Amino acid sequence: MELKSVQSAGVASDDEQVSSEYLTFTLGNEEYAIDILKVQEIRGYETPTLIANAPIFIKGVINLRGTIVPIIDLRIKFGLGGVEYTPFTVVVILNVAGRVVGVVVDSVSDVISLVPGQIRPAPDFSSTFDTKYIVGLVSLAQRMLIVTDIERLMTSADMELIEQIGH
Amino acid sequence: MAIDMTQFYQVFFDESAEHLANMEALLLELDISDPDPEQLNAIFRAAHSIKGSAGTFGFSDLADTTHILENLLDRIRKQELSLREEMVDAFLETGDLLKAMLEAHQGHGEVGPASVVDICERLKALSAEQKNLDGINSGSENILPEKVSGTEDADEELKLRCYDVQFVPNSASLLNGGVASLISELTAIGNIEIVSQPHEAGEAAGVWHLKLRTSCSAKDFSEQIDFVADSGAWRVTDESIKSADDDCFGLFDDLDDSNGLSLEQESYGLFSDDGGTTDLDLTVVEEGDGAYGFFVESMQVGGSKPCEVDQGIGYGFFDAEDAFEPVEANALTGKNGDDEARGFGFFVPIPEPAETESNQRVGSQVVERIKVSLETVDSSVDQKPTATTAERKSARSALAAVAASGDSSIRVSVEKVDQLINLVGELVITQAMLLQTASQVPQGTLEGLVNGLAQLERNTRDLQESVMSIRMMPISFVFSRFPRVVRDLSGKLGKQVELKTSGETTELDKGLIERIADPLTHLIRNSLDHGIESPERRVVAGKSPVGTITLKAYHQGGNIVIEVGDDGAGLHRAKILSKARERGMQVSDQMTDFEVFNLIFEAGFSTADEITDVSGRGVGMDVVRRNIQSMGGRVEIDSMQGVGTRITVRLPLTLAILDGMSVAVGDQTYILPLSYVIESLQPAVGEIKTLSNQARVIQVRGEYLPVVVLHEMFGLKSKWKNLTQGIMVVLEADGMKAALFVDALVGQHQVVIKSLEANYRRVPGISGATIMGDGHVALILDVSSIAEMAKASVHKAA
Repeated sequence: MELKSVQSAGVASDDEQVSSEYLTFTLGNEEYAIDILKVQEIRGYETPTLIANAPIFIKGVINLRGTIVPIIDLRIKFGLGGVEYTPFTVVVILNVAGRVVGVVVDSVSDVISLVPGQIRPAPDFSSTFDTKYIVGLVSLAQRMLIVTDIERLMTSADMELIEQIGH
Repeated sequence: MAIDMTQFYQVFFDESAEHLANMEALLLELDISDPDPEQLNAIFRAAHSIKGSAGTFGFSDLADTTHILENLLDRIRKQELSLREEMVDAFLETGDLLKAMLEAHQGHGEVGPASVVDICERLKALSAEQKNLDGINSGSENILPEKVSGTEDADEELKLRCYDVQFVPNSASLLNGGVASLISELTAIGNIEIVSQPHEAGEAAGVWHLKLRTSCSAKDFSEQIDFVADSGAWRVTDESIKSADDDCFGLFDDLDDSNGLSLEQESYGLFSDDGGTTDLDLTVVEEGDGAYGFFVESMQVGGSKPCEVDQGIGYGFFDAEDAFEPVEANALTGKNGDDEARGFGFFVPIPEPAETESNQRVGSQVVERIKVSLETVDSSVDQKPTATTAERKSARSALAAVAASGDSSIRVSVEKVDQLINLVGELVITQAMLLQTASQVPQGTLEGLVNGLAQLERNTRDLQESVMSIRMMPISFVFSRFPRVVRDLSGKLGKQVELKTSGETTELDKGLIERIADPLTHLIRNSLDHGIESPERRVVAGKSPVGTITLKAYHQGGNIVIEVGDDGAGLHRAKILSKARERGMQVSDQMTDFEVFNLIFEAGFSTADEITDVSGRGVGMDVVRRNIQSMGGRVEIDSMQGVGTRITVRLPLTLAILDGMSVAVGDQTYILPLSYVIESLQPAVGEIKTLSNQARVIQVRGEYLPVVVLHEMFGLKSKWKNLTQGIMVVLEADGMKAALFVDALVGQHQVVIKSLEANYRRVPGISGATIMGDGHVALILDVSSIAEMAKASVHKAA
């Protein structure tokens, strides 16, 4: 009993059996999973309009049916995968924190269902991908999925998407 | 039947806010020494409307406060009280409080109960003060023979009112002898007569029916009754004053109890004598719940014309033509059911709707009665004729108000309009895309299509224009708040200031209206505080002691121009320069006036010798400029010492559309707002010079302008190696000129402005984005910040 309560401290025990759906995508050799409710749509890459003096991973802005949407290349941000743009390059349009943002990834794999119990806490190590955006890790067969808090990531100062207070 | 009232709340909030604004405007226009009865009536109506709907929607705090306000207003309206400056102050503050209450109900902010009590007390005190005065001049009828009808009644009404009190005691009070103590309390304040009481008092709950004659208002004792009886189980009817709160806009005043009519609830005929009344009466019978009024008007005393029966539609409006010589009216009003149930106003409902036929009958009864009463009428007669003109006047104003309120407008939520505008914007883009595609088709092959598209273009433009016009509002929405600002502030500063406005009907975008209010308020406060001198100093300077602030709005080209001018002291050039030096700014005596005056827009700049609570901290003008610039506008300042200052704000007509020039830089297209573009030219060899080998300048018509090379600033690759191959666009922003180097000019468009910040963030040098005909995004350049950068680069080099 004692042990169990310690274990479940990190993951909510109440809804251990309630599954949520996640979209998985690859960046280089890594596979990421994000909450599918944050995903608005997936579309092909089109050349965005450059934004002067923006960080290199911000490719610019596109017109998404009348809305101006910034495009971020996560491959550049995390230094993963081959940065090339073909008609098959995928842009995941996210709806996070009331904003619409597009992220370029290598490929979108599938949609999976995960119960909170499957998500194991990530070991704490410093990497390019700050562990504070990682909800946990999931192992499925031979794959390891990095479950990411995409909203937190996109609204973080690192992404330079949102004007920070006092900036 | 339960109707969810909450769905109407927004309408109530909007309407009440409008009424409050209207009330405030009217209050400010009032001539204290000689108030226009029409205006007083209009103010009263506004307060009354708020009370009515607040009661209906169950906002009892609003209704209660408005009720007190209304009472005082009513008495002023009836000239029982003379209007005084502090009353207007109190009214204005009440208005503010009501506004705050409204906002609190909408979830913004809170209203402390203390402030409510405070205001209510003040209003009551103002009302009571005069009451005492009137008590002293009890013979005021003789003193004021010129008053409009009803005054005499009103004076008497102060002394004694007759209330019809009915209640069913609750069980607790029956046990504790609450009824007995209530009766003794009521006896203490007036004369009571027990009309009927339950047979076995104390045993079972029964109806008590009392008549109370007292000088107190019903408010004063209704609490005690409420204590004894459960809410809803008691009713107080003021039989002597009924028209005060009715919906006939108080054209007909009531009679006091000695010559008034008392309404017997049960009697169908609605008229019965209250014992030896001598009256000429004109009776207004209002239907109980529908609030449709049926007005029965009698004619002039001594006249033999038949009684007029009008069937009013709506809230008892009557025909002005038919309202011939109304002498006196006694309006017995059944308030609408909600009010009554909540215990606002003290009215007996008239359950039987008065039918037109029965009204005719009623009318003839009235005629009968008048004939009888004519014989007994005496001294009061000679006052009547004077009343008629005033009443006619107010009848007209009532009609005018009806016309105004019934104008053909609808309330639509801004989101809906914005959605429409967005859709039309999309349509324009799609249309442009189609046109572009069609133009690539070889000529002649699809002539019909091309013609059709041309037609579509015209139609979409028209559609866009008319949709955009939905958002347009007259600037009077902003201007209307300034009389109050000027009044409050000039009082505080001990200055005499007159505010003149013109061009209130100039229309501009709703978004701009909302955002221009703060900067304009600031400019006006500044003019008042720094511009206009004290009366003494003005007299010394040979000016009229009353300063003038002019507020003007007009269209000029594709812009709205708003001017805030004053005939005050003007800006002190030398003082500004010395302050600027103190602050370590780079200034020189050679600067033009224009440049010097522009310094006051710098952050932290203030020439005020002392900081007051009005201004002087130096925050403000820079905020004003920043706000106006963020709207795509410009602000300029002209001043002459001793003559005055004029600040001119130029704004685009709308925030959503901009006339732009598209320019190419490398493979990118940018939009330059056309209003900033002066000219463009291809620089000749040798025209571009460098300063300290860093900053470049170009000579254009004898002027050296700083050069901003766009592709360098944005880190792009130009298709030209040499600046002489491209185009220099000469821009002017904030009184500063700069030349912007671009690869080529592409065209001129009207572009729909899209926010970059909605999903991204502010980008230096970019003010927004738009979607071009091919569906691509083009960024709109922020000319002011580019000019700023140009200036900075020259300063750095120098």
